Amino acid sequence: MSVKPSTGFGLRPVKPSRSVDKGAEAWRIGAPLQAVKDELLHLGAQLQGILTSSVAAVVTEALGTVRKQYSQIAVIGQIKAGKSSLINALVRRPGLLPTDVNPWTAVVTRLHFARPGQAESGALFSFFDGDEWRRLAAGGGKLKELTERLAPGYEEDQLRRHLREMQRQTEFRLGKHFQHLLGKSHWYEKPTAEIIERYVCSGSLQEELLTEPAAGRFADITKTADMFFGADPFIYPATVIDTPGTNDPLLIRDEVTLRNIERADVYIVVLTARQPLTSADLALLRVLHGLQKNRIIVFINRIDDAGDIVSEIRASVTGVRQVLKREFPNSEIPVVAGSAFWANSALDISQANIDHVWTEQLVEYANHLGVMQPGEPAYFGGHALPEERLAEILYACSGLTQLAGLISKLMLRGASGYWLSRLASTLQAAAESSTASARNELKSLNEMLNTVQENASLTEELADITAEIERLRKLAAQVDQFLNTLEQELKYETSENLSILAEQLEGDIRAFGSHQGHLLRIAWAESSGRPRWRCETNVLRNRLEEDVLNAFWAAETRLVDAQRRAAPELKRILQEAAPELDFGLVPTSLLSFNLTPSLAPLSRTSALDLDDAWWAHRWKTDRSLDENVLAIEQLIYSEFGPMARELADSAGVELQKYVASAIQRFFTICSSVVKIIIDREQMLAEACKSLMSAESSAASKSVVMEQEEQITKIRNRISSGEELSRRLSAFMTRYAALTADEQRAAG
Amino acid sequence: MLSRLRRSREALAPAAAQSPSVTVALRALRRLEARLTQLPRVVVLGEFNSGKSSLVNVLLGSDFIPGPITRRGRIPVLIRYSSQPALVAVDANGGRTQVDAEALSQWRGAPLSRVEAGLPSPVLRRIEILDLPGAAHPTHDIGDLPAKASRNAHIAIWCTSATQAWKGSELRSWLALSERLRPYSLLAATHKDRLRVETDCEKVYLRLRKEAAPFFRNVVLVSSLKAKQARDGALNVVEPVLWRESGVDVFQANLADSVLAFTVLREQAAAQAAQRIALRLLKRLQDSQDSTDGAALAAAWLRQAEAMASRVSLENVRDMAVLQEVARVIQGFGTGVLEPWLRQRGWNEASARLLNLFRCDLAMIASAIDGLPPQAAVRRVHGALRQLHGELSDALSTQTFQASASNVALADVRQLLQPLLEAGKAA
Repeated sequence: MSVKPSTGFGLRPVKPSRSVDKGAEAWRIGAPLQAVKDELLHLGAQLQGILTSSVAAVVTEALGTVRKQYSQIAVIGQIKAGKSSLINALVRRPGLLPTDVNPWTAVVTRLHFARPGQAESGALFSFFDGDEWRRLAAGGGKLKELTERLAPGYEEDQLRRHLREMQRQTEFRLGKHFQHLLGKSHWYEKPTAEIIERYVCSGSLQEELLTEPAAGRFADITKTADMFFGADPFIYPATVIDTPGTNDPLLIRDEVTLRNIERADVYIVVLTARQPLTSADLALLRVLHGLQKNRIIVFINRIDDAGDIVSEIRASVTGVRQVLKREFPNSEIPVVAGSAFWANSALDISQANIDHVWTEQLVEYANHLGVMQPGEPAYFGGHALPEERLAEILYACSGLTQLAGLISKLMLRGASGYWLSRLASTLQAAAESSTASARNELKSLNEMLNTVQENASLTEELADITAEIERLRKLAAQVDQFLNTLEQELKYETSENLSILAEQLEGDIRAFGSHQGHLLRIAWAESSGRPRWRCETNVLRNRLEEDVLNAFWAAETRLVDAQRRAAPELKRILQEAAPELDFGLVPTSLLSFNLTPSLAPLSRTSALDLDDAWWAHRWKTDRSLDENVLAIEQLIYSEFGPMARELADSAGVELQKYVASAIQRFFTICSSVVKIIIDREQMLAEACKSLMSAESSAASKSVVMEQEEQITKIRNRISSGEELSRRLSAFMTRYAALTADEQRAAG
Repeated sequence: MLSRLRRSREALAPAAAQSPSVTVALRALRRLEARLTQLPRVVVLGEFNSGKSSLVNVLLGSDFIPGPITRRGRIPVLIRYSSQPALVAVDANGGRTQVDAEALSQWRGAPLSRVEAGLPSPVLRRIEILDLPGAAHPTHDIGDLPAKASRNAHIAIWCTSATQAWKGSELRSWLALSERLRPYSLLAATHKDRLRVETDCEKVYLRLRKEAAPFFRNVVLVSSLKAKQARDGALNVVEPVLWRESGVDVFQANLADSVLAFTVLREQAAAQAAQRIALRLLKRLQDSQDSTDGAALAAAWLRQAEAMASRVSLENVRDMAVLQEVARVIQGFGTGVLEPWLRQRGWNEASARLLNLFRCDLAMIASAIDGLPPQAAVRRVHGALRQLHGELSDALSTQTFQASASNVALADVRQLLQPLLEAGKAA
């Protein structure tokens, strides 16, 4: 059964009143990230109270960016690993995404939770456009291109016929609507389970047995599905992405899957307890690892499927850990074992489903985990325990709590974390410049009041102030010019670094190509033309990744150095503006947030990654060894050359961003300080004029009192600015420790 | 078919003395017989943990496959019939060691290429089973083992877990193996017990039928677990419902059907091969006779005539001893070689005329050169010898000399081969 009618359509989250939710609502996801965000937004709001408009605008923009952020959690794995079930359990809506004993998810489905500026209910289904459909119809899309490159002329005729047949059926089934539907989308305010099935299930295979022929009606032409929900169970806004299984015999959807998950913050790779980590899983992990090594969680699903549960699961988990350690020695990928089936059953417990779930294995496992209390009865059939308690035990065994915890931790590291740390540093800069300008203002006010009290000439004072304004204007222009020059210099540094990087990557690929040619020669000699050699592209990927990151960090160091060299000069200019002010707060190293270039191009499958069958076919052609070596070297170059160029480009884009934000920050601090001082001096000039025009001493007194009030306000601003600065820097220290901790604890 | 082959071969055996072609044909027939007597080999394939060994154990009716041993060693196990259980470890150099399970699990010798097991299991009277280590294992790559192993196999069973059945990697591995296997091979979706309701089984079955059917004889869902629970120690079904649910009965029927189909087709192929062998033999016999006959005989004479001619010179042409020698050579060829050859082929007018040419004595030669000067005499003798060759060649190429004696032999062979020729036609 794909959907249990008893649960409604599962579109509403299960109410957190269940006993499952004891334990401080551990199933809620994203709390740490939200706490960080709340704190920063709060500090930001406080800060805005004391900021002048020019700086406030910068802060408002940064706050707005952070409010728009959300985390993306992609769930991927082979067909029938239980991805949809796992998502249903994770978002606590059993039966939301349709599941089946056959591969059933045909479409990339995105579930949006409390996405800022989006609906809180409804579903949008988008169809392929004409071009995409024709490309699929041509057979296998990207895969076909790849196989053509590796083993030219090799056609899996039967498969291709099968695909064409499926597409023909779809076109036939949709009849005259077909052309009209391509490139369009459908929106539902209140999607029902039946509607969802119609779009996201691969129904065409099941037709002869279906009583409900509508399932999967549009699935073949649906590209993506978007569903919108309120926050529950997420505390931080999030999008969960369900993907069609990889390693599908129909080939066609793999490409869709990989293209849609390039920029997720957390990747949950779902394995099965029965066949944990097959070579296909490993290939998927390698691709992902190239993409985002610290964002992966491995979930071994369907432990309910295991026979001798405790020993089998222990063997699975240690086995998987060992292989991961060996494959990816430099990163620790967390591994959780569990069962989405148990979790869903716990969330939707009833007499009907308990018989399927409540097995000896479960009780054995519960005892193993220490979930069962001593002496707690574990009868079968007529269960001795109340439903609530059964649900609690089931949920505790399902591994979902650990999974939710890990997701929460990993969310800190994603794009949202990056924007939060950027916001923090912007806020700090704003607080510092606000404090600095307030001090300057305070000084001038005091001087003016002294003048009044000492009965010195206000005219002289006014002349002084006017001269000061003039000087500051010149200085402001000087600062702007200085920053312009600095920007040019930084940009030059960046492009220097990039051209070196591009050369280096090309060298890597050439060296790898000739080494592989050498290995092929050896293997060829050993086995007379049927070499057991495979091009281990992962070695090259790691190499490229290492070089890109090293070059990037080297570039970052040089940029920071350039800024450090510039800082004293800037400080000198600023001290000219206000010699008595302490500009020691001008940072010598500007960026505390860690940027990394996108490594997404590395995750693209190349023709060299195809499996043994294709290679076997390649050796069957009667090319000589020399021809093969040459062809392989060229193939390596033509497959990886474009990747390398994209990597270098993306590193360039990130570095430019870095330069832009560095300049922006300098500007926030320096230029706006000068401009604020000018504003304040102008106000002083006004005050001076009013004092001069005030004939009576009484009027003069009231102006002085006004100014004294002003002084108190400024003092308050300084103290709250300092206070905020302190809190922000305390926050940054804590946040840095938190994320560093997560990286260590991720094992 | 086998007995027919054997009878024909045995009948043909005495003729081997007559011609090497018969010996060649006999060898080919013996190979054919050997191929037919070999039990069909069933290779069991699949990704790791796909239930291969459990399924093999159910077929054998015993927990024979020492799972942990083979799993750890990742070694193929070849299982054949034997009245007493026996295990032989075969190392990479072909060295064979009789072992027991204990010794095998603690094997410290040369790396093993396979284990051969003998077992008194009834099913092994009809097939032999090769259980391969699982593919797609993250740490133990078995490389091209399936391709190699299936080269000597006749039937394949691809095991796939019913809950995650028929993945792309399985399809591609299967397609990389020989197409020859496909018409007899089965896709076994194992762990059927993990599908919780009957309609799920139905759905999985229908999908597999649709997606995998072009590459297999049939698709079967099985539960080794239930099958084991359904039978007692003596393999009697004590829980009929469980047994039916296990799907093993259907699986066994399908396997028997595969074996039958394979056997029938193998016999047809053998019959065709036997026919080809018989036809080839007949053609060889025919060809060999025709070729030794005419040309070879004329050539043999030419050699003798030229040897003789070279000995007749200006100096000795009047020497009676030399002329006597010439006459003897001519007569000798006529009576010693040509006459038996002609008689063997059935005597007729042409034979008599031909033989007559070689009736030559000293007096005839002497009178032919009488009164000629030495140069002309030599020319006459040489001319006569050459003329005999010309006449002989002409006669042999224009006249038909039926090889009557060996005709009988050829006809005998044809008779003997008749069953084979017909068998081929029937096939």
